[in-house]
Amino acid sequence: MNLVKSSQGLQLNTPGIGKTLVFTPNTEDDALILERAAKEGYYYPLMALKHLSALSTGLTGKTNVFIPNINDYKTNSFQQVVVFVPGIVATVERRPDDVLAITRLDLSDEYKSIARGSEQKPGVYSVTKDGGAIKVQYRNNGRITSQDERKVVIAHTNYSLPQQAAVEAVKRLEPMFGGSAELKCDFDLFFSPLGNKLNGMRNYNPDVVNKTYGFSGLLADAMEQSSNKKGVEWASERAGSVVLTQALITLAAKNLSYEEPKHIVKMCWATSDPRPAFQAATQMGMLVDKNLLRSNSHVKAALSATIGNAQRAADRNDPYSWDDYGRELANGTMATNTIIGIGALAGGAVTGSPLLATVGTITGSLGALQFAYNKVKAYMDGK
Amino acid sequence: MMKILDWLKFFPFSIEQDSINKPTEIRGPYFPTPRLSEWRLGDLYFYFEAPWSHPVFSFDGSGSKVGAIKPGRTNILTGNCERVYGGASENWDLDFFYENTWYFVGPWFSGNKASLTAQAILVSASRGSGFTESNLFHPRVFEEVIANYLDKTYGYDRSGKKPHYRGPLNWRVLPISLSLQAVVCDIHQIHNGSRENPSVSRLVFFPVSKHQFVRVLFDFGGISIHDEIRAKPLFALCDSIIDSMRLEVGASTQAEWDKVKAICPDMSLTESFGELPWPLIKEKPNKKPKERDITPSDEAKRMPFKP
Repeated sequence: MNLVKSSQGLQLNTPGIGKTLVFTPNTEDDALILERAAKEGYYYPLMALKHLSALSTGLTGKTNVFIPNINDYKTNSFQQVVVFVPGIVATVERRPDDVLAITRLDLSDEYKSIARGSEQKPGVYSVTKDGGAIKVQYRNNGRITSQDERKVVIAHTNYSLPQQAAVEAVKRLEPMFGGSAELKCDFDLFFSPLGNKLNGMRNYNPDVVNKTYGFSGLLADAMEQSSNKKGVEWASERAGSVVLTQALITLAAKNLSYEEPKHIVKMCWATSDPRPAFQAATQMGMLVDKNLLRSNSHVKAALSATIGNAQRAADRNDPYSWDDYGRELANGTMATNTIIGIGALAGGAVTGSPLLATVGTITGSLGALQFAYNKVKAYMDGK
Repeated sequence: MMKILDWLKFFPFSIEQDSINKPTEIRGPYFPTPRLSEWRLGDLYFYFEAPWSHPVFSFDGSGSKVGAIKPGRTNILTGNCERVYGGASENWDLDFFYENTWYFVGPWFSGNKASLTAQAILVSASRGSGFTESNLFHPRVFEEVIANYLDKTYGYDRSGKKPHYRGPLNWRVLPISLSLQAVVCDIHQIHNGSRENPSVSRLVFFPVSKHQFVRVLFDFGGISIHDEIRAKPLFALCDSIIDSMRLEVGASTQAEWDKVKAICPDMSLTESFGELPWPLIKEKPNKKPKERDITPSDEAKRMPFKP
């Protein structure tokens, strides 16, 4: 993957094989940093270069290539796409002569700081307990341990070390997989060191959180490779839900079927909307945890859980039944959600009607009255 | 002025923040005064000084629990501790009797930034392992036993074709009593080619009876040793705990030790111990691979990188 100086710029692909792929002069400096870092064995630049050089086989079929919604997109003449590779974003133009030109390269500052042989690689780690101590091992082939009913935790994205992610995952094994899993303590961990927690409204829709595309690509790959194993359980912890959802959507887009292996999808304390994951998983015939739609505590998720769970109960193929629905309503797990849900529904039904506005005004004026009364009272007392 | 607010600045409470920015300052444990702890092992009393540990509190689930295990006043040699398994359980019975974690927090509720975990297990020779015949008070036997334990625990893990661990490094003898001595050494986890940037664990070994010894493991949570801000206080706390260790040897154990001294005049442990060239015993190449590669051979999934 040597960069070769050519008339069009620095050429990335092997000359004469595949499409021509060049860095335009304004990105040459960054490209050279990338290349040097890759040669020194730094991991991210290596991945980035590999992903970029993979474009020499064409843009089609690449899951990390996005066509931005801009007006100057014309078929077969000039085409601009954005390629997400872990840690960087590259803008690639397809020139009329079928040369792919990398016109913009955004490198992050992490490039020089990630140490060689870093222990912070994203990917699959296997976690075991050895004499009481937790042992974390990176899986070089990027796949989960080849075992039926393997348990995989997709870790929260805020951990900076796999060890830390593993320790927290071990503490959460019981709520995620039950007591026997905690006792055995032998599972795989998918580590995505984003350094962000990805909660709040901005990250509610998991499709648009582009910071994790690189990680979810790795996860989707690991999931695809494990489709010959039965009953693998994929459980996300907190913001891991974003990565898991994106991976599921990727696989669903590839039209894979997990009808036969019956993999299980779970989300614990999800920070994003669980519905896209649910839809993608059911489309592929995966079994979905009964609590999936309730896994996010957000009001919007609560509303969608009340409706979504009713849909689940109505679906005969889904293990979630009307019994479950009734029980959850009766014991209160969904009760508050339902009330909020109905309230929001009513609100939705009369959007544009003065009702909501009126409610707002009334509470507002009540507050004002209260405030005025207190003021007057204080004034009177003072006198 | 800021000193006065330090109790609040470094209060162990976590409001989850992004972990990209490395902390410029960490502090811990919240009550740093060392307190005396005691373990009873037969007629031996083992003492060490460590601060109180505390959890990191939070409302949003980003806090950390301590999950301490303490033997209390029970006799560890006869007490029913949790049996654990692992690499060395082929020759040894491992009883897990102590665990504690000390958290170091960043300023203004940025939460857990580093942690030191200590774990102790009582290691007893399994029936039929060969070590039931020998006497651990003999220094040469004890050295061999440590080597065997390390080899069984760390010697056969691979990362690719290279060993996963390196050790023992920084071997030193720790005089914890007039008769029985302890050994301190480091194990480096060097997978992914991180030989220059290993994750370190520090181990302490001392014999407690003819067939049993205690292993204390200090785990630094995988923190990089080049990360000075975080690594320094962690290692300082670890070394202060190790240096405070002492052992009171009871009469009957002392008598056992004297018996060995009668036949072995030099009872001192070796001052240096080289790194073990792992793997010591080469495994036979297994015809059947443990995991089968199911990728179709014509599909190049991962390009090998050749500059």
